[in-house]
Amino acid sequence: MNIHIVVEGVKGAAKVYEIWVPLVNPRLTYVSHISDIVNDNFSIVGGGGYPQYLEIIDAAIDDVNNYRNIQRLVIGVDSEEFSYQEKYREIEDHISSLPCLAEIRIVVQHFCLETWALGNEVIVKTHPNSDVLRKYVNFFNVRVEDPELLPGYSEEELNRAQFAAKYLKYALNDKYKELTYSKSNPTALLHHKYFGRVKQRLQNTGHISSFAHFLGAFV
Amino acid sequence: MKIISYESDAGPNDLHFSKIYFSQLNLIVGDSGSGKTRLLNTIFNSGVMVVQRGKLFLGSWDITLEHQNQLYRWVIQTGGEKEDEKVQSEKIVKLKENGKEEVLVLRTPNTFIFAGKELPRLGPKESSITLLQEEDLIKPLYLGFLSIMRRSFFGPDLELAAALESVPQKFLKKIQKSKNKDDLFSFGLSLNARLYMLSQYFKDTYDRICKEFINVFPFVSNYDVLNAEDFGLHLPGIVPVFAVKERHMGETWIPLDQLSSGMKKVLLILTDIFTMPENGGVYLLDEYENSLGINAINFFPSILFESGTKSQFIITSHHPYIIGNIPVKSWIVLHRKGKEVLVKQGAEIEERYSKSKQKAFVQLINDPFYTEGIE
Repeated sequence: MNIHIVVEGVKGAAKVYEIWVPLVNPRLTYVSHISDIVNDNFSIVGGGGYPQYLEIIDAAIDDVNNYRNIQRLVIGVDSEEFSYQEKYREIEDHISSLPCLAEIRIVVQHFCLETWALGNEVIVKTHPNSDVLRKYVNFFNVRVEDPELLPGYSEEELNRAQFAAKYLKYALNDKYKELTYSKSNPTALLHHKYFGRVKQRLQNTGHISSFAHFLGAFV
Repeated sequence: MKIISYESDAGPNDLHFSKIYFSQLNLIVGDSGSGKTRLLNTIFNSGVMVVQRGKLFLGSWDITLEHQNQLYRWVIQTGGEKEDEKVQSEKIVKLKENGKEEVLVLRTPNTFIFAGKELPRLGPKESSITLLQEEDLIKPLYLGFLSIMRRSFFGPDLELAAALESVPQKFLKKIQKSKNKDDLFSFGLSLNARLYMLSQYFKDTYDRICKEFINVFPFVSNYDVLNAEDFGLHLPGIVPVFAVKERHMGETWIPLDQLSSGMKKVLLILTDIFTMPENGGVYLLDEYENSLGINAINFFPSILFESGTKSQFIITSHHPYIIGNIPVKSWIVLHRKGKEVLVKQGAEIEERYSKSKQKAFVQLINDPFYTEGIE
């Protein structure tokens, strides 16, 4: 099976998909351009955070139709301030008028990639050293509660997606001296053990339920 | 002058640029830190080594260039200590249409052969183009290197360019006599002084620059070159001040130094482009879009295509609009591996990117050669 993936975010999101997809389905091998797809390959095109995401989806559908050797198009998108259903419907409505020869799977990262990453319980210390992180854990403990239910943090005027990104960064900095996280440098998330912990969280607790759609999109 | 190909190595602690082929319009793209600014600097430094007596930089350069329809290859290696650099070897070759080479200069630490004849020992602290600039065989090369101009806006360049300056009498006399716009390029005057000279002696060019300026900033209702006296500054000589009036701002003249940095920058670039030497020069421009609003950013690609200049442009940019509006074949993508800077030429990229309907800019920001630009 060949898969083409469209992700919305800056280059970090594409990097996470590049590493995590073969962890879901080891038969799939990454290629850096859609034209390189041959057999059991996947390619990724990211919007780089620029506001033309829907145009990129349109062009991806054109590409899939032209190449004809791609069986699935996966569209990965953050729901951010929308509900899972609202975001799913937005993409579904957009593509409904666009005939596509491949099956389309919409993966809504509810509400962002960092929400899934916060599903790794190990990265948040039980007793954080950082005052800021301690405050965050007291406010909402992602080790116990479902990260998808993380609210915004009004004290710092952060919406929930901004809060998740900051929470993740502080947790990683607190736990590992040499690791940090940014949207453009998600190195910490790329280790297979990290992916394993996120998957385990979903399987053991049912938390980060939108991650199940990611797992399902590549098998 | 036009640079056809370029390779340089600035020593063990600096970057090595593998061979780059340039065309008339060249857009250098790459991650921050991939070597774009350094590339422009090393190209500019090669020119400085020619036109500035006694000034060398450490490293090696291999440049093929065209000037007045003649191809040359200049290969120079310098060594020694910083601030005490010496030429170690140098070769200048005239490349003929039949593929043959005519060696003009061959130089080692112990020998100096020019046009087949051995010359007495000449100072090792100057390139042979500098030393032999008056010789008919070498003069075209020297003049070619004189036509390189670099603009970067990291330091005080913009403020310096917009500074007040008394127009030197000798320049005035020269231009009155020669009526040659190329002289204006070689004077290296500030923007105020250049616009004054243009308004006096090259009215068509002056009007073209101002018209293009108003196209970018339509709220400018009038423009003129006034004198410092008009602004209460009593300075000796002719001290011109370019000034504009803006709609809904009454009759007040706003002098150049009080315009926004975006307006100054646009005016400076327009003036540079329209005063490049008639037979073409090399214009190096580093990330001009920094701190500019979208209206000031957008003017540049169309000016490049419409200016009709013979000059060569080597520019760097991170901006999607600039990158998206310059043909892929004109891109040069840099990728740095330690001190090695690897290059992908536009033609190679164009072929690959044509296989997808995604916009070229979208494909660029997904290309590992670009996104993982530094290893």
